[in-house]
Amino acid sequence: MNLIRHIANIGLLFSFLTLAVTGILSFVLPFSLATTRVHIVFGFATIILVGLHLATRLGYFKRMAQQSLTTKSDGGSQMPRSVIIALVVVWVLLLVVSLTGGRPATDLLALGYEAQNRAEIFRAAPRTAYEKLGPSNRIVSLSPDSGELVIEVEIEYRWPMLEHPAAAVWAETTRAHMIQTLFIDDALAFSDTPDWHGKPTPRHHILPIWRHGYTSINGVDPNGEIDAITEATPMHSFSIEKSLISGEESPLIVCLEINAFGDPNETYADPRLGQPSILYATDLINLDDFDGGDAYFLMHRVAHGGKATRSGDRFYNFDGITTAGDMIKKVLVHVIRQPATKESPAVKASSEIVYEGG
Amino acid sequence: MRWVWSVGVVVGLFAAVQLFQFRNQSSTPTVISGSAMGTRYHIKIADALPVEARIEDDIESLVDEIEDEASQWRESSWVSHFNSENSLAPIRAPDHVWAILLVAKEVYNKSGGLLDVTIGPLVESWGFGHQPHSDPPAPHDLEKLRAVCGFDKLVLDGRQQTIKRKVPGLRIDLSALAKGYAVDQIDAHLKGLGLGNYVIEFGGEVMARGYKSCSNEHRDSWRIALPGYDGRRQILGVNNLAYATSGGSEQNRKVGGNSVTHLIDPRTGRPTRDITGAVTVGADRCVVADAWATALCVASKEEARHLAEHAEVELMDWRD
Repeated sequence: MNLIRHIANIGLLFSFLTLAVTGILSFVLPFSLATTRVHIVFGFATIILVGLHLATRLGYFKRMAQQSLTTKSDGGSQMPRSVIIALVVVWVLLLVVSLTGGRPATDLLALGYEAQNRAEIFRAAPRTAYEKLGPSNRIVSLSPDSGELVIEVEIEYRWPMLEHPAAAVWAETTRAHMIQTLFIDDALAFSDTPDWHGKPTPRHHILPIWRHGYTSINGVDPNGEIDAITEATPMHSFSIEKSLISGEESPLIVCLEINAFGDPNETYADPRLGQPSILYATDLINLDDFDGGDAYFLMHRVAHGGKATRSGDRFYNFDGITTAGDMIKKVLVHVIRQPATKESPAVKASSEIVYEGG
Repeated sequence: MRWVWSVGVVVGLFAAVQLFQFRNQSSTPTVISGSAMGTRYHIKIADALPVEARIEDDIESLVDEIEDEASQWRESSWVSHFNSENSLAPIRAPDHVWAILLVAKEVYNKSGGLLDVTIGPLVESWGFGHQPHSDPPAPHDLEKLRAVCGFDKLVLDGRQQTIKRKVPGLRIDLSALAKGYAVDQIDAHLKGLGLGNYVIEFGGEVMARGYKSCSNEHRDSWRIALPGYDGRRQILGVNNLAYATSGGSEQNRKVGGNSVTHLIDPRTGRPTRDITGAVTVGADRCVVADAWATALCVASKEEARHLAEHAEVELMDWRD
């Protein structure tokens, strides 16, 4: 028993010191995975050591319990009952205050780094590090040419979707001039009048804002009047990377236009087209501030396509739009810039588009 | 009374011809798409298709056949086998490869060597081959590579349809012409089916035949988008002509800190550095347009204009 006691005591000394240091670091510094990892590991070690320590002191607790139940306090070595009650009360109070977020727990937290820098910290969701997206959500992952850059657009729906809505992702300048389409659904990619749920439907009815932007850079009219394009052999690669790395088009904005099939309501009663497409966009992505590594950008709902089948106009009044405006819970753009290496897979012939979820 | 009958017969015949033409011109073009040679092709056919035609399968087989012979990216292709050998003996070339080589040789001669299908090792040395990299070749390496490049080191024997290396290590790369050639082959196939109104686009090379629609009042040409200046495409009505475009916008990279394209000037062994400009060439055959577009893209603007006039091809130079 003596050996266990020594192990528990000395082990607790080291473990407590580590826990205390990492705890203070976590409190006063920006989030660090390494600090958190050490803190968690030593937290578990401390739990085990405290358990051992308590196990060696079981006799003490038994004696305390028996004496406090059978005899009255004499002010000697026995713990006064009032002290025990006070300790229990303080424990319960601290537990309640910290669970409910009352004072002084909030005052204490307000001193921490995360609280003081809340405006600059984005945590996608509590599940970001530990959970995969649910089955009805979608990740579009784009790996442009050199393998140095991956752009992930994570679309999280507010409710389970039986199928993904039509979607296009593109980058544009601050004057809303499209730089390049980053992603367009396969079904919409190669025909101006794709089959949409069993009926040919012009793209400018499905995603009018994207379609108009596309027209402005390649001359292909929404009427589908262009029959072919002669150009340098397209490799299906995206030059957005050049923009992001060289800053040629800085700052830029990444946009998502999305439209669910058959969502009519009172205002938009067409049973096929239903409510209009919805446009989401990031704030300005200022490339001068993008020093490498990775960065997250949230998209905001900014406009809808209305009945802009010919003009590609953006409408900012959401009156009359119901489910279409609410269907997206969050759109997160994750730009990952990997260091270039000589062995990097470099030119993949095509961009990689990955779908996840149902 | 007889003249009434005669007029009736003439009017009836005229109406029948009109009806036939109307039926033969489908209101919505048939669209065929597919993937090959690392890119995609699209075909729009305005004519009504023969009932028994299996055009999609036929075209897929045809393109596959060409790739099987001429693609350096397909390990089992004839070209890959040729390139993996070092034999100096004459080797019989299959028909598609032979046809492409003849065009390549003609343009090589007429352009003063601006189109050279043997510069694959140079292209790779600048990082545009199977193993991309971003280091420029050292000058002495460049000279070594140039020693095993050059169309003049490849002997074509028309009587035997054979090709023969003059130096070991010489390789051929037909990818600059293969798509244009495939367009011509598809064109010939569709013509053989009696079709006359269609547009073929294969990885940016285009052949437009006939019209998109025609009636007694007017005819609509096929509308082809050209590169244009400043990223603004220009649109052209085209019938019975092929267009091919060459430029570095799709394949370029930083090598030694400089942006370079995959277009190598065979005269210097060095790549062009204009990553936005392009050259479009119009010709009767798409493979010819394709070959000249590649050749003229490494020439200066003045040189390109002069060569295009001499070769009697239509040139649209979109470079600054």
